[in-house]
Amino acid sequence: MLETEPQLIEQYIKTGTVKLVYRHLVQLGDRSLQLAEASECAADQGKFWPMRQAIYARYNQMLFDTEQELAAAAADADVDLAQLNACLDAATHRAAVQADHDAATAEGIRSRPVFRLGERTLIGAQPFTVFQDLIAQASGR
Amino acid sequence: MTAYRIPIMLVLWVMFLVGCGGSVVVTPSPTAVPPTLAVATTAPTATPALPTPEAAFTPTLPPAPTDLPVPPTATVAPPDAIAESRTAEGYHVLGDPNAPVTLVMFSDFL
Repeated sequence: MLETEPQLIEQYIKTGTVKLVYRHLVQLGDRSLQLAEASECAADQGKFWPMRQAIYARYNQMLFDTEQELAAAAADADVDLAQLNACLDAATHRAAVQADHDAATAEGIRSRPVFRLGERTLIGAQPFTVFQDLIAQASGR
Repeated sequence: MTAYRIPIMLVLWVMFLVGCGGSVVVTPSPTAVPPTLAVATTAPTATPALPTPEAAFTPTLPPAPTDLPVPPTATVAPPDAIAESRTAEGYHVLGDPNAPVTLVMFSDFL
């Protein structure tokens, strides 16, 4: 998805053809939950999408030193770290993230990533051409 | 007779002084030429070497308003900014909320 998403954004989202809706899955334990909460805490500062992008850019290191990498991601996304940590310490969004995960599993989502486009569901990372075809069908182009 | 001679001599003496020496007193001496006249005749050659008032004050002039740095404001979106919003359920949305195609992504950050 790291390679595909920029293409989707450039070709379909910026042009107003597609909107992307993000829903949380927290399938890898406490760290998944912590990062999902961090993205919601960043959203409190109006930085959900920049923080998501910054975390994805560092996902290889997130497992090894989550605190340090999270701080670096916050800096990349121009998120105030003190506010972010206070939000995380207070578990401000934990229940909402957990509810998001529960709703997804209730809809039959069992793995990640999963994409839903109209009536179609795609499981796992997909090449850009797959999205192109589905978007063309859905938009009638 | 002598009493009349003295005033007459004084009058004649004064008239002599006025007629002969008076011209020396009232005639302007060469030093009476206004010095500004001499300066004015040499001024054209000296002017280029002297700093003009504009040149002297230019370094101390404040910068023009257009040169002042403009503080960034959070309300100004970058040119390629993409709309961000939420669904009724609270899920984050990237792109035009009225876009004809909706792509839902379920994922985490690891």
